[in-house]
Order: sequence, then structure tokens, then C-alpha cells
Amino acid sequence: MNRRTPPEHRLIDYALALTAAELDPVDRQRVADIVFDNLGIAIGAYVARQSSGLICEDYMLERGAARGDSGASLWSGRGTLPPDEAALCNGTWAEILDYQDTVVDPRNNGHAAVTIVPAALAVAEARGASGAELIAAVAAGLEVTIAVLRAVGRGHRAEGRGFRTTSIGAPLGAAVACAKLLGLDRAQALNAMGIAGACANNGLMPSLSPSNGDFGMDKDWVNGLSAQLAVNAAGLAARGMTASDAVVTGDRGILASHAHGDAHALKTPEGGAPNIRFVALKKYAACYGVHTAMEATMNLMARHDIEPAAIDGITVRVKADSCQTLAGRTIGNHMAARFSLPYSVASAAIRGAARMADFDAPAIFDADVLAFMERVALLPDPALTRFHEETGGFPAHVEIRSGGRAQDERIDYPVGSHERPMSRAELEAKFAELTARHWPEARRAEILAAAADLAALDDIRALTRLF
Amino acid sequence: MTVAETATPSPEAALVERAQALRAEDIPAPVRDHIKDIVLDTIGIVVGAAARNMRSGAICEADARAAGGTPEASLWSGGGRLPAPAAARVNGTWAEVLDFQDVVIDGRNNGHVTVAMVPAAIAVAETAGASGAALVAAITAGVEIHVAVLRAIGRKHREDGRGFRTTTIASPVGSAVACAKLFGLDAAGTLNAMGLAAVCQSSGLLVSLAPSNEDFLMDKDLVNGVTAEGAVRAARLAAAGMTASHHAVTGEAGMVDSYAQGDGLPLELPPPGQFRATQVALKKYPACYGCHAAIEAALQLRAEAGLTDVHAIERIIVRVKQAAAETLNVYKIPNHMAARFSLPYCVAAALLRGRVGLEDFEPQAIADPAVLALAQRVEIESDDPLTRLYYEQGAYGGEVELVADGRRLVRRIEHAPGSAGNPMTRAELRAKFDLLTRDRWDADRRRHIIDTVSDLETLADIRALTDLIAT
Repeated sequence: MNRRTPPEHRLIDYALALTAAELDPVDRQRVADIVFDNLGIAIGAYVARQSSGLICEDYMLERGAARGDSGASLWSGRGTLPPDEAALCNGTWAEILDYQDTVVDPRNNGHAAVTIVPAALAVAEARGASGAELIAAVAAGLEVTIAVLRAVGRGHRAEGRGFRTTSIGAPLGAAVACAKLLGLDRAQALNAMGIAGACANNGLMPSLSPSNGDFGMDKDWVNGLSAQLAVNAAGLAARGMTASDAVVTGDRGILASHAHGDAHALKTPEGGAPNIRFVALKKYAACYGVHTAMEATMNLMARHDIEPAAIDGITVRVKADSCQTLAGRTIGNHMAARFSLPYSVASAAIRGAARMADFDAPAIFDADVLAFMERVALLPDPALTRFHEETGGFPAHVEIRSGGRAQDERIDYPVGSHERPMSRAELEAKFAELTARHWPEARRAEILAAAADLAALDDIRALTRLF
Repeated sequence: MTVAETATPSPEAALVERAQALRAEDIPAPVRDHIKDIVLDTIGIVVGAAARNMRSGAICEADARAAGGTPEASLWSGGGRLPAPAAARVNGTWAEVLDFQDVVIDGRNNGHVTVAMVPAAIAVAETAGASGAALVAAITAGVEIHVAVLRAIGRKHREDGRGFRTTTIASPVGSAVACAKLFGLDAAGTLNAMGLAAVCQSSGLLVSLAPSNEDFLMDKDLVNGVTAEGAVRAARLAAAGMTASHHAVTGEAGMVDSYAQGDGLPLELPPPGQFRATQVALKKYPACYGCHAAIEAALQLRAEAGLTDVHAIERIIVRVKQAAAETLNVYKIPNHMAARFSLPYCVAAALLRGRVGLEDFEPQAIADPAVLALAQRVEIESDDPLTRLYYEQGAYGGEVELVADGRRLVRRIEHAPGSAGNPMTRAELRAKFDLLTRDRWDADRRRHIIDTVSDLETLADIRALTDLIAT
């Protein structure tokens, strides 16, 4: 009996063949934007001296101090480490602020670039790859991740299961991106993807469950580990390590284990990188599930000139699972705030804004905001749940009651998604806010200039030396 | 405000409290002796795999040595010293390669435990200069937590086609607690280490071991090393202040919610003074434990009936539990791993050669046309009573029926050799160690290592042992 060639082969052929030149110019620039957005977010977390990033990076630097080799930059500017360890540190920083990219797709969501970019940039730097090669690798990695997520669907988080979406799809895309940058052949790249799939961190989510009340740092670290795994998977595959060439679709593979009967075919994209436009970049430093509710709250208050003190109550209707996972009202740390609809809406109502600082100490302990949370009620909305399942959007319907009158607004897609993209000025403002305390203006301008013309860079180290 | 201050008390906290309090002198002598047997067994397996230069281990070690780093813990291959996490990864990968590792025997679940835990714990013990008594206590505590987690989760993570590997689910948690104990972490730190390990554990998907995929590839070995590495790092980072969920097993969206599919049980240790560590079996043959009882039965029948001419055998029927009948019915043998997971190959080798040893999984042996032809004649059947026994006790039974010269010969073994129901003698365990390590060490060195492990509780510094292994 001859075994059928798994669809992973075709996906790998596509990924290895993809070049930056084939991409639509808009998509090419989008990949560059994604790269620089990640960089900015990581710097913002470092500037804020977030503990999870510091603990991880201090530990790696301490161990690496005696090492003779180095290869990839720590974006914090604290030196270089072997590419896998740099990917670990940078990937941890990139996750902390919950400011990362989000896949907006009817079949699944989660994050992709937050893992892929730290891994790919570390390998690209170590190899002296060109900007065009980095763009092609990241684009291929994003496409592979989205293809896997579409095949898997959302069963891995249904019925109480806590497998993190990002940890399922992104390690594979990141490993393929690294394999592409290392110049691996088809068999080796399949092995890299197989190693990443079989060894991927499960990223269970008890830390993000309001009922547990933990909000620990593991959420950040696990992303760094996924990036490190991807680099190592490609490196080990280059040395001859083997793994299944059917890690997604094979018996006992990702679909069999995570899809719970809802698997779709693993499809290879056609023509360029048609799906990277569905990778959203966030406007606010919080879970994407709170963005539309914050925006609607601010819109209503501005439009109807409502003062916070005059608000009797705010009802936020969202998809059903958000009413459970984003319902936290005990704000013990910045992460709890970023994953709390009551906090986010209260903060937006009181402050009339949703700035980065509003999701960190001391703002998260502001007694006025915490007291206002009592006026915020959450309701599951079947129509919004259906909308999310049909489009991948994160809709919210907010009603503000004030002085006997009720005003309401529904927003279906957050800013930064394909339907409502951030402008160039908004992206640059985000980058500036994140990095202003780290780099002087001239350095930021140099980096943004590189971003604007990333595909033309002969050697990515011309960029990374600026870190 | 710290996580510890905000978190509600959890069943995990009770486990950690017991783990922290456990001392070597509190452990009954038979349990302590078994833990020492496990340590010696794991060392022997690693050295045996490295001496054979098995490819997955060699690649992993070459990669880790190229990366280098602060020399903290020994590579048991003799390849020098590396940072503790890297040493755990390399030793853990080698420990898995021969499929000669320990097996948990429990009605709720099985899988392996010390194959990841011993490399992780010894790497930490060596780094910290811990005593032998501390190592024994740490591994015992880790095994108890590992088995408690397995019992809470049950077996659904591998049912209905799912491929989550049992070992990679529980071992990171138990191993991280063992490492945290060796680092001297407090209760909150240990809970953080446990949470980090649980959340960041590898899925260990079994796609490479599914016969239908025809793979049998090296990721199976690497993922065990990655598990050991993850435990060391989890403990290290928890010591440095990294936090994680204190409800990683029982909390919402945690391990039981994610894996048990409605079959979860409370997370509990046995009553104080009782231990489950003796439920950990040590293998007699370098193959999947699901093949052991059938191998043993075939060898016994061959010897007792004088069946040296396999041509005289008309039929060979192997009966095993249902899952083994589905996953170990491997007739295509592209590499050593496929052979180790093949009931037809293992039984054919036993009948043809009168043994199933390390040499029977070497390239020439697995390509032997005679054994491959005989393997094609092995019929695999699912056996309901053995399936029930497995679900009730975790036992790996097997029955072999031979029809030869008009005779019908049947041998049924309910408990595979090496388990508590059919234990290997200490002499057999030492013979296994000698066999695995004789290409690397002379008899004096082997004896010295055996004696050192036998007196592990009296060792003031574990480096007296690791120095012996490292050269």
C-alpha cells in the first residue's frame, strides 16, 4: 500500500519558493510593518522593565556570559546571544504588553508574528540574510500559521480546554520561516516543521482564567519558548534530525489532537501571500477582545458629551466566551488589566483614552477606575458570538445609561484589523510611543527609514546594528 | 502584589507542601531502593545509547555542544559539561532513544516518568552540589507528583485519535518539582516552577509513532530531552522570580480541563507514609513495554517446547490489549524505532533468535530477511480480558499462541517483566546496566558506579557520582 503524500509537502513547497518580489507591494510593506511593530512592542516592554522579560533575559545573559559565540541581537540592546536564545528573550519581550498582532479569521484567531518575527529575525541576523529574504520568510511563516489555524479551528479551546491558539500554529510557521532562511531543502524543512509541531509548547491558559486569579508570567515566557523552539527545530533539522512529514494532518497529529471533529483541509495559499492581510496590528495594549468595547465607550461619551460621573451604568455585550475569559474584576497586575473588559471599559470611560500607561502600574490601581468597574456589566450576545464565528471579528455592543437616557454603539472590527487598518501615521505613533524612552529621535528615524525600505536591505545586520 | 498573594489555595499547593517536606529518611527502604535502581537504570540507558552513537542523541548533543555555555552539568556520554538545561536536554534525549526506559503502571494512566526526571534532577543536583539524599528525596517527590497528575487526568488525551503523549503531560510537572526541591525553592516558588512547566510543556504529539504515518522518527527522543530541559529552566526561572498559575493542573483551562475530556479525578497523593513510586516498572527488553509480555511469552514457549526451527511453526497469534493491537501492529520496519514498536518484529525475533536484546535492534538485525519474513506471519489480536486488566491495573499483559507440529502452545503473561507484578531481580538490573555500559567502562568503573548509586543517600555531594559518569 502506497502512502499518500501529506498536504504538508505542498505547503512546504509553497513556503520555500515564496519570494518577496512575488508579494503585492502592499503586502510586502505590511510584512515590514509587522516586523517593526514587534520590535517596537518588545522595546516598550523593556522600557517598562516588565519582570517576565527581565527575568528571562537576565537568566540567559548570566548563562551566556561565558560563551564565545554570538549571533543575534537582544532587541533591548543588552548584547548578543546565540540565535535561539535571542529569539527566546525577544519573543518573551514581544508578548508582555499584549500589544501583539492578532489573526482575524473565521476559523481561528490567536497570534502569529509575535513568535515568527523574533525567531526569523534572529536567524536572519545570524545568517546575514537580506531584507527581502526576511520578508519572504516572515510572509511564508505567517501563511503556514494561518493555514494550520484554519485547518484546526477552535475546538482546542472549546468545552473548557485551554490550549493556546498561538502555541499551536505559530511554532510551525516560525520553524518554516527559519528553515527558509537557513536554506533547508524540502525534506529538512518538513522535518523542522515536524519537530516544531511535536515539541511545541502547549501553552495552557490557566494563568489567564479569571476564576483562577493567577495572571502569571508564563504567558510571556511560553511565547519566547515557541520562538526558541522554531530556531532550534530548523537548526536540528539542518543537522539531520527527523520528524513526521504529516505533523498537522497525520494520525495523532495536530488536527487529530486539537480539532475535535472540526478539522478542515490543510490548504496551500495560491499566489503570493494572500492571507497576511488578516494579521491585525493592535491600537491598544490589551487583549484584542476588549478593543471594540473601549472604542465604543469612548465614542459614545465624546459624541454625547457624557461625563464619567454622570454614568449610571454601562452594559457591554460581547461574544459568549469573552464574558467568561475577560470578566476579571480583581486587578492584581498589568496582565489582569489587559484581559479585563470591566477594567478596560472603566479606564476608557474615566480617562477618555486608552494609552499604554493605562494598563500598567500605577494606573491599574487607580481607585476611581476600580470603583467604576462596578458600573460595567457584561452580557453574552448570541448574535455577536455568531458574528465572531463567521468572520473572526471581535464585536462589542456598548450601551451607556446616563440621566435616564441610553446611548449605544456596536463596533464589529477593532482598529488595526483588515477591515479597519491603522494608518501609517498611527503605526508610526505607536512605534514612537513604545520606543521614545529607549532610542533618541534620530535613531528612531533611521529604524523607521529601514522599515520603509526593508526589501532593499542587502544585509539585515544593517538594521540590527541599530538596536 | 504577588501572584501568591492573589491566588486562591489549590490542590496543587497540598502536593507541593508534601513534596517540600519529604526527606530521604522518611522514605521506606524498598521505595528508596527502587528509586536508586531507577537512577542506575537511567544512567545505564543513556550510556548505552551514547555508546551506540544513536543518531537522534548524537545530533542533539552536537547541537548543544556547538552552542556551549557555562559548564554546570555533565553529559553522561562523556562529552563534557554544559549549562544544566542543555545537559538535561542531551541526557534526556539519549535516555529515550533505546526505548529501554521506565514505565508507570497504574490503572488510570501509564507513560514514562524518570526518563525525563532523572536527567533533569541530576543536572540540577550537580549544579547545586546537592547531596545524594537530597536527590533521592527530590526524585521520589517528583515521581509521586507525576503519578498523581496522571491519575487526575486519566487516558482520554490519547483516545478518539488524539495523540498527546502521556510522558510529556505529567513529567514536566513532577520533574520541575524535583528540580525546585533541589534548588531549595519555597512553596510559592515551587508552585511557580510547577505552573511554568505545566503551561510550557511540549505537546509531544505521537504522530511519529502512528503506524499509519510510517514515520518512526527522531522527534520522539528529542521531546523527552526538551521536557527535561523545560523542568530545569522552569525551576531556575521560578527561583529568579518568574510566576505562573498555581492552578495549572486543576484550574480552569488547566491540564485536567484540557486533557481529561470529562474523565478528570481529584489531584491527590496517597495517604502520608504511602508511595506510588514502586509502581514504576523498569524494562527488561529495549522495546515498547506493550511488546514485553509477548516477548517473554514467546521466549518461554520457545525454550520449553524446544522450538528452534521456526519453519515448524504454522501459526503465531499474539493477543494484547486493544490499544496495543492497534498501535503495535507494525509490519514495515524502516528503522530501529519501528522495530521497537512492532509486536510482529519483537515476537519474531524472540522465536527466531531466542533473545531480544540490544543487538536485535541494530541495522543488520532489523533488516534480516528471516526475521522480517517470520514477522509477516505474526497475527495480532485484541484481547478483552487483557484490555480490562490494563484499564483496571495499568498492566501490560500478553499472550502468545503457537501452532506447531499439530500442537497448540499457549503462554499468557498478565504482568510484563520489570513491573511490580513481575519484577526484575537486582541481579538482572545490574546485568542490564553492565550490558549497556560495558563498551564504555571497564568492570571496576561499573562496579564503582553501582556501589555509589547503591549508597546514594550517604553521598555528601552528588558530583562524586557525576564525576564518575562524565569520564
